[in-house]
Amino acid sequence: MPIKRLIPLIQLDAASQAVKTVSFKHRIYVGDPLNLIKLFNELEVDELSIWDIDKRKLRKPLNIELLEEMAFHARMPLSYGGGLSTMSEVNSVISLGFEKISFSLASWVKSELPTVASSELGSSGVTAVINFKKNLLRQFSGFDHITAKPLMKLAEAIDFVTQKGAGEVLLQSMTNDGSRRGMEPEVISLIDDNVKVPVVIAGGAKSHADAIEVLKCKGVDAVASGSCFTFITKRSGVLPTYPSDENRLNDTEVP
Amino acid sequence: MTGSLTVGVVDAGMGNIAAIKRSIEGLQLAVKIIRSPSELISVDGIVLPGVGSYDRGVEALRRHHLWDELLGYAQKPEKSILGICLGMQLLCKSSEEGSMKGLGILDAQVLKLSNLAGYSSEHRIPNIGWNYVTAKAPFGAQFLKICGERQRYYFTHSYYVLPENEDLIMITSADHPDLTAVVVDDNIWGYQFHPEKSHRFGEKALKNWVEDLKCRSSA
Repeated sequence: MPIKRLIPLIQLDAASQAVKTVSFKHRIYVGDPLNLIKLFNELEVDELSIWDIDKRKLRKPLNIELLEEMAFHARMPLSYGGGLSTMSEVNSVISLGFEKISFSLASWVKSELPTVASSELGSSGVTAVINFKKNLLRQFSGFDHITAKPLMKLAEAIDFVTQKGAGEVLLQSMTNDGSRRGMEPEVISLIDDNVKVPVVIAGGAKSHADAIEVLKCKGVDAVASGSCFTFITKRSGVLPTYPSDENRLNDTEVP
Repeated sequence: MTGSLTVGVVDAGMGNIAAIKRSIEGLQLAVKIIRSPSELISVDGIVLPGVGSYDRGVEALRRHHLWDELLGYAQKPEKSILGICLGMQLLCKSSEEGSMKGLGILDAQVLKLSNLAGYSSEHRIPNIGWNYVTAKAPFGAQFLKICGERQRYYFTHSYYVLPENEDLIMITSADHPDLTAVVVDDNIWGYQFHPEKSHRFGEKALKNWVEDLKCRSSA
């Protein structure tokens, strides 16, 4: 298997500043995304995922200038997501130097764009982000995080996006997002051999050690986190950090 | 920049041009962005990057009228072409991903990872992430020895390159003995991984190609 990945997340707000959400509601200011990229370069992170969390809601245009600068400076693979609504925007992002595009479950449900993007870019270039939490029946479901409406059961959502062309699935806990109280073990146990594409888990990583422990779980190919690679304490003290090779590779790689 | 070598990076709208440019310039070479055939003439080596599907890549090269020029360029032993990811695959004759013919500069096919014997039973596809690599040929062993520490590179692909002559496979992924990572056929090199996004490891891989280019140009 490939070496399991640890992926810092950078969330961009309407002002193109980096922020960190908590349970998809509160926002904590992080800083200049370009500075973050430069620091993550030095830490040689496996990959970086950038999400524009206001573009879709506010119907903002792409900040081409910022994305271009980010791609120029990044020495790690980049993915971008958040409100992409046309192939023109997708092509713009890819041509700027991003390796992957992310679409939320809502996009996969409501539009053919993610599937078209998968056809154009190859499935390896398209990730499905499934934001999940428990529905009224206490079942894990994929949600539209903007409308807060459940879309389908989590297992169905994984099948759905995979059939529609997603080359990777990222499961993001809405409840544990930014909480540093741990990732969702029940969801991790749901990932079985029937999932044929790489799976990334996000939301709630307590610490580097916790993220590395989750990486050891069967079925998990990567762990993504905004908080544990960005803050010293639970929600403050911005300092990008990342585990050393010695701390993470021996336990999670296949030699 | 030291020396007089210039590397052309093909920009057909399908690759990570800026990062490759930055990486090559970091090796003290001048870089020219190639968008039209006339720009190919003056460069000493070419990097053909690629992100996207096969037919889309073929169409992009044809749309920029670079097809015939690349074929001619490959015939010059003092020049060299490095294909990266989809760029490497476009150098091949054909791909199971698409219906269009590739450049055929490499006598190789591009096949589905899902059909690679013993791969899909152990791995999820696409292959996304960092792979350690293993030398398959003496050249590959020397390549890795020059790099020094154990090398790992970032891969993101669902198809792999299989040359007609498997002696051209210099390095494979450590995950599977037939998953081609580096192909070298004289002045034609191919990397399945993204050296421009593989930190210090990728820089060393790029440097190996650049050093070969320098020898070739001064011969």
